[in-house]
Amino acid sequence: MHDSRRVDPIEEDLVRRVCGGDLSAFESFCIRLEGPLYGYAYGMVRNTHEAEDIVQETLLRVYREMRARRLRPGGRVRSFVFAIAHNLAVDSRRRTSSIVALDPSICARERNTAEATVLRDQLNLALAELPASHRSALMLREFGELSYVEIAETLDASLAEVKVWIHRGRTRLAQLLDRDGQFVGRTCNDL
Amino acid sequence: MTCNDSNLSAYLDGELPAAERRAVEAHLKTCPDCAAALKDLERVRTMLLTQAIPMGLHVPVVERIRKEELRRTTGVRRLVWAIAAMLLIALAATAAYRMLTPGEPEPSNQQVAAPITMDQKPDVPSQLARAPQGTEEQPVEATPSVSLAETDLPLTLSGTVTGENPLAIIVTGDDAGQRIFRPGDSVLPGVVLKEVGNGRALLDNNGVMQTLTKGTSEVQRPSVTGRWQMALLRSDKVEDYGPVVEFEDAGSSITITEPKEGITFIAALSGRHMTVDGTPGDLPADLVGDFNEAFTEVTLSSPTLAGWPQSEQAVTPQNLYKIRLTKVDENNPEMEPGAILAMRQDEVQAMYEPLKRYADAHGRRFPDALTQLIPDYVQNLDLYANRDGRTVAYVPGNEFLDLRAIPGLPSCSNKSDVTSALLNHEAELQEVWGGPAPIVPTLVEVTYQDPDYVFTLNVHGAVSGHSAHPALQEDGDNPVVALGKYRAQIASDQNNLKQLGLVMYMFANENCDYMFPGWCSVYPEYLTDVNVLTSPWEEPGTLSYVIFFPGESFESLRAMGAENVIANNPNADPESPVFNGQVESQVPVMCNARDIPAVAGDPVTRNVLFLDGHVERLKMDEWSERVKPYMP
Repeated sequence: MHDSRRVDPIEEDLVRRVCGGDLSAFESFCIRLEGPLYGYAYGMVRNTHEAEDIVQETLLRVYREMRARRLRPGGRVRSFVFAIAHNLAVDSRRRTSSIVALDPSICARERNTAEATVLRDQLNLALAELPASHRSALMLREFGELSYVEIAETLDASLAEVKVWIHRGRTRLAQLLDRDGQFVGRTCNDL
Repeated sequence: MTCNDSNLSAYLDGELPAAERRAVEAHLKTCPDCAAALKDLERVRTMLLTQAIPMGLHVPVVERIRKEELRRTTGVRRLVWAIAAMLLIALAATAAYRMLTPGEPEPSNQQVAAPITMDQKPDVPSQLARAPQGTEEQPVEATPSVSLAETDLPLTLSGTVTGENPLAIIVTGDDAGQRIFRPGDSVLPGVVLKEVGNGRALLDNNGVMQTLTKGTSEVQRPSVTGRWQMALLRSDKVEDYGPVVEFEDAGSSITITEPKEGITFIAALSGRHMTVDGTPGDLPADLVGDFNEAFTEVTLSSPTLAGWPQSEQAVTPQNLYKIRLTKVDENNPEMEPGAILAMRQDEVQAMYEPLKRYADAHGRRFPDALTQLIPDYVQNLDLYANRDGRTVAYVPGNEFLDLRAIPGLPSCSNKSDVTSALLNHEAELQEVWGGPAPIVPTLVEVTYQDPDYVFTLNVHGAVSGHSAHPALQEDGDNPVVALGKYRAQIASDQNNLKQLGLVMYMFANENCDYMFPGWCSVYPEYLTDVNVLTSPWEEPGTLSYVIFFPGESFESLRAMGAENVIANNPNADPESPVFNGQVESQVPVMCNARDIPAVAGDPVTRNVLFLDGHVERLKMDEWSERVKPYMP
């Protein structure tokens, strides 16, 4: 697996300026990244408020890291940013899951009843079906545009695992959602 | 490549090496199932990426950072004062002799002393102690009457302080730099500092008494006695000016005094190297720096970072806060602003005596003009002009009531407290004037002709200064803080305009490229925080900005801009791809409703938002040149 880490010169320049204390550069940086970050965070926690909090906390931390020069230009910025978001999302999930009953059968039942009415859209129903590792890997790829190598670093997993997780995650979503994006639930194939 | 291989996803993501990629491509041509699977995978990607994403999530974050930065810089600004304050407690009057290569201290064995025998030991302490007492001023050159062996340990004595709290500054050979030792401290394992004399220290080296003598090679240097301006640097840029302090040069040490607060501390000097050591508290425990070639400037920083606020410790050296001291050259017009203000304050202070004598002789009334002081009270016409030749404006203060100057008043919380504070003040004035005070409270306002700064001389002869900028008067007692705050407020004001620029764009995007017709049309859909409508120095709720072309279409604004651009530059090419950008950067769309007043050297200005979203602070002449042409 080759490392297709990409370096975006505009982003690099923005980071350089933020490191030097340019707040307007940071705004531009935020505008570039907040969409992908939100997409990622929402996919992970499936709650708009939680996701917004994660995005904002991530941006704040990123700014502080840049000002402290622990985060500098050099091709690793995106991976760094999404690693922060990932950790926050994991924390958030841990927090909320400690409130919800941990018995898997109850979780499954809730997913099928109460949550189904609450969840924002079909996609989220499908995402909820994915194991956390598959979802993290896929979201980091789609929203973070991270390379497999970076995803492996962020998730502390092997490259082979990441490759399999992303593929299984995508395949599963394809099974769970029909061509109109409607959640079709468990199909016979899965049983 | 087999079917259902996870390479399919990796292929979609462009993560496969060339050989495997070709294998997948070949397989896809022959296997319709896999081709369909790939389509499915692509469909999932599209679905994921087309979710609705909210905009502007970063706005509160950026706002929070901006506020934090503002708070932090004011916090650090206080640090300059705090450092001076804490140094007061620092009894560590240090005298250091660190050579220019501090990492490799030379053992100071220039002075060869005769060996000592064990039976001479009991006499030693008193001998050594006596020697320095009479020769406080010069380093001891003569060998004490009892000869002690000079130690061969890798130690260098940088300096000594004798008296009630004696200490020695010793460079230990292990690159640890210089440290302070007091009698009884262990210098090296098995080596204890027994006593400190002037320029010498007595060591107990595993039971053998030895001396350690200070080196004598003093670098020739000019005296640094005089007034020095303190400044706080961040990233080597001046962030704030502190007080003007006075240096008194005593050879290997400098006594530094902050005259206003009466704070005194001592720094050690060795060659160009200056050390302030052993400061207590949670502030920099160590400050070191080198004087420049001409000995007119020294920048101090903390090599260990110990004591700087936690939040600053992770900052890299180039970002670190430093303290710079610059010798005040009274003949140099390019003097630091902090020093200029301090000096003006002194000049105002000097007026007190003649004014009071005049008032005493004239029924306790101040003169109507300064000329009335001449020739009976003042012979020197310098009173009319300060050192940079600017005229002093004098406002007899019989009607000028400065409540802030009344002791205790600012902390009052109810009406009866206020009354008693005023009565106390009146009683105090009567004491000062030996009878009813002229008019209570009587103050004289002395100001300079360009009203950047107002100094108030009260009946006690105390001078307080405040900025002419109304919002900054709360910092009146520290002109320099006021100036820093003024600039920070202007930056914050510009950020308000930038945010309004975003609002303008958001509105225009959804409303056929029209400028919004008024604030009500954007609140709360586009403008969520009404606080951005108020300049930081104005009362909350004040509408601080005006819209130039409410309800106008961007197209007509651009047309207007294009006319002006072509009028100013006939060579401008409307067909050029950069032309539109040029035009948009020239068309003003919003600005401060009122002038930003001048403060200490900063002229009257206004912040202006242009159509392309950038904000500029324009002086009034630039204003008439660049904004006036667009006015109806």
